[in-house]
Amino acid sequence: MNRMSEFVFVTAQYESGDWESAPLVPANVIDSIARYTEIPVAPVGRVVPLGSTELFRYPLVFLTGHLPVRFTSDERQTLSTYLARGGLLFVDDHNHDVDGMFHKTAVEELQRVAGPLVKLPKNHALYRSHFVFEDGPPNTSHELNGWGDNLLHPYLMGASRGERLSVLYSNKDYSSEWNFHPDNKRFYSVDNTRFAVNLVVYALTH
Amino acid sequence: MSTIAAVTTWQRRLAGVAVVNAVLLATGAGLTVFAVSRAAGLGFATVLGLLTAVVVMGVVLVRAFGKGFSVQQVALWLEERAPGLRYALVSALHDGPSSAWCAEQVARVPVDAAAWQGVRRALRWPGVVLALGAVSLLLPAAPQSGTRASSFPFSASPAAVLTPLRVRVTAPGYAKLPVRDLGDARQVRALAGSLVSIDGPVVDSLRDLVVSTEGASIPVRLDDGRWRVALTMDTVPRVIAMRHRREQRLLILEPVRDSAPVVTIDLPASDTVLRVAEGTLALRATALDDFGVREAWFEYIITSGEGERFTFRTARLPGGATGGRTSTSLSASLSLASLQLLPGDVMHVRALAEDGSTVHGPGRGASDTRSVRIARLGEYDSVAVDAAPPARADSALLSQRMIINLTEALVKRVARLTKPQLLAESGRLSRDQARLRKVVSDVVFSRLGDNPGGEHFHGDGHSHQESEPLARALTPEELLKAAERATDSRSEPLDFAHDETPVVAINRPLLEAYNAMWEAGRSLDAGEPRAALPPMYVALAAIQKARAAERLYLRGASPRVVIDLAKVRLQGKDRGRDALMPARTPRSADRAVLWQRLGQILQLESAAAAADSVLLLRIGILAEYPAPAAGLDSLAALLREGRDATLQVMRVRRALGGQRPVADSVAAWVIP
Repeated sequence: MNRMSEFVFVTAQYESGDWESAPLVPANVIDSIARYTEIPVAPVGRVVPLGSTELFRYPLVFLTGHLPVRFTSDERQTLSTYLARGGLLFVDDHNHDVDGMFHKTAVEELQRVAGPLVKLPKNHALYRSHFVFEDGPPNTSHELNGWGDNLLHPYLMGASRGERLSVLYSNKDYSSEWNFHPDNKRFYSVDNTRFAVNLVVYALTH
Repeated sequence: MSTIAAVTTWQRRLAGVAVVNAVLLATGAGLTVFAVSRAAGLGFATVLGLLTAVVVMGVVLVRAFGKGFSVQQVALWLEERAPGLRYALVSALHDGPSSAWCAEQVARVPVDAAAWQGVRRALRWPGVVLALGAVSLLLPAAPQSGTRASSFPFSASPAAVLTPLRVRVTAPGYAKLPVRDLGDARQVRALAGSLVSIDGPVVDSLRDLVVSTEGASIPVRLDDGRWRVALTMDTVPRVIAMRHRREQRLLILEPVRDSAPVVTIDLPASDTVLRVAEGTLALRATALDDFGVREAWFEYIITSGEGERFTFRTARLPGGATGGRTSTSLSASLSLASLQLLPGDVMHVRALAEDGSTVHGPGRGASDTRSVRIARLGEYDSVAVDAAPPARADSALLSQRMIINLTEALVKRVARLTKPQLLAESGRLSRDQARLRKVVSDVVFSRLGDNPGGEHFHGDGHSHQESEPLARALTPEELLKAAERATDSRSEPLDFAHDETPVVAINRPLLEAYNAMWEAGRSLDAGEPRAALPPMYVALAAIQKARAAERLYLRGASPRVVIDLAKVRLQGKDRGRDALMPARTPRSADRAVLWQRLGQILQLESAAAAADSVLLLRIGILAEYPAPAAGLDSLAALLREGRDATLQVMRVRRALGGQRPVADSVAAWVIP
């Protein structure tokens, strides 16, 4: 199979912060893609520097961390080009804390690159691209357990280019929620990584 | 009331109804025409509506009264509405009011009720027309000329109203720009938020003057006899359309956005790792803005903690007065001791500046961020933070390439060389290859804790210098295990992907290169440069792999989890079996003949003859094909006894092997 025809889950490696804080998320998402779809998918994810033009090969890039985010000028430039070329950047606040430094700094950087982040409505195509999430983004156990800012964040935020989402920003801490070995999915009555499938399908179809 | 009086009364009533009918129709039609004309933007909508109403009323009245409203016609109209009168009214008009029968009929039948019902029916459609006219008034009116401060009566002015214009731009106060008079401009380029004033020539009336942008009217007012429009420069370009009767003009408004300040941090010049948080950190930055920096400052964030638990502190440091200048410098000093930084803490510092824009909020610019990290206590003991010098394998890589090039060149010249010449040149290359192998062995075996002198450690089992004793040959795997034992295997792998420890990841390819070099050297010694090339390529690739493994990324790599896609998708690995029965062996030519012969026998009409033929067939194949021969014996008995032989025929055929030949038809078997 042509390698370029496979979906490759990419984690963004940026200079500041702890980009590698959710190392098992890629494997878990890949497992879900294989489990619920017939999308050709690479069995391992890739880590791509945010300032590298290699980023342009991939339709979806995942970025997470706890620490303050400051993009370098190269990262900013590459990311801007990537978004303009049709890429989707999924950013998740690993602190799930709207008062946290990741949130403040990441939002500032993203708005600098992609424009203002606005709340996504619950009927957004993202919530229906594969599984149907009537109530918008699924909550995470970390929100429900009262960690971080002790808030349930009822919406995701995003920046769009035309009708297409170019940046998706989450305070829900999917980085913690999905950061387990996929072999342990059998212990869940409802697979909590299903939303990742929506994300991938959306990125591949919009 | 007499019969004649009743008819006369209804004559007056019906005349009134005809007038009402005409009024309703005329009003409805007039309103409809007025509303539609108004929506279409016709200036004479009212006149048109009135004219329509008059015409409709006239037509209806002429039609109603044109034929006259005679008593006889009214009587017939009533008779039509009240058939129970049985022409009593007409008869009374004809015979005179003395007819008792007529009076009795009129008294008996409710003429008025029937007549009023007829009136209501006659007024139904005019009512609908009126309602339609009323509803049409809801149509929106076409936009008319802008808000008019005065309503002078219409007066034709032959002079141009849209030329010349006087355009004046007043920039926002924070920009401190002078007021600009652009004269009769066609295009205005100004800072977003500027006030744009457009003055036109003197006019008597604003009645026909329309100024709009994107379909929305802009208020126009009269000032000293001149028309005037004032608007604010938006952040997006606009086209101002002006129209006065047949005169039209466009004015382009092109906004210039106020840029956010550009901030550059000069000190600290780069990210830094400090062993102890002491002393003072000098901060310096430069901020540039197109209209002036209003405020500038430094901001720092201190991150403490690790894993999932982090705490943050943030604060601002004033960078000094900016004076509203377009270029300003910031400077500050930060006492590290006062921040009480702990090992592992990271301080992010950056400079920010805001301009004075009051139009769309102050524009804010930020510099790059510098990180100052306080080293952890054990950090210098376990991790080499400073960059190491290039590994000695680098030079080996270049040499190997060179040897490959020389060997490839020698291969091309082999045909032109004599055997002694070939051996001489090949031998020189072999010595070069041996020297290179010695360098690689030094790198490998010094890392493995062995004598860096090298080649007496013959993990690959190859020969060695004759003067040295031969050590017990170790396999490469044994060698690697020994290397891991030699290093502190309790420490976790730091920065290597895959499952290998650093020792294995680096040394495995070097050992592979070492072995390949041995092979290449042997071929060169034998004067076979072509055979030496494949192991040389292997050696080169292995060295390349070792170099890649030596690139350390201190931050670490995530664990490598490879998803078994086939397993997740429940595709499995067992391909299964198509059938439990073994495939039949193809029939030989002899068996095909026997099959054909059996078919011919079974088509015989006489069962006895068939039985005999079967027996003859059996005799013929008894030695060579005993299994079908045994079946034929039973088949002959069945045929002779006149019993059903179907199953036995099948068994015999199966014993003969293969499938039954295809035939168009099979003769029926007749049991005698």
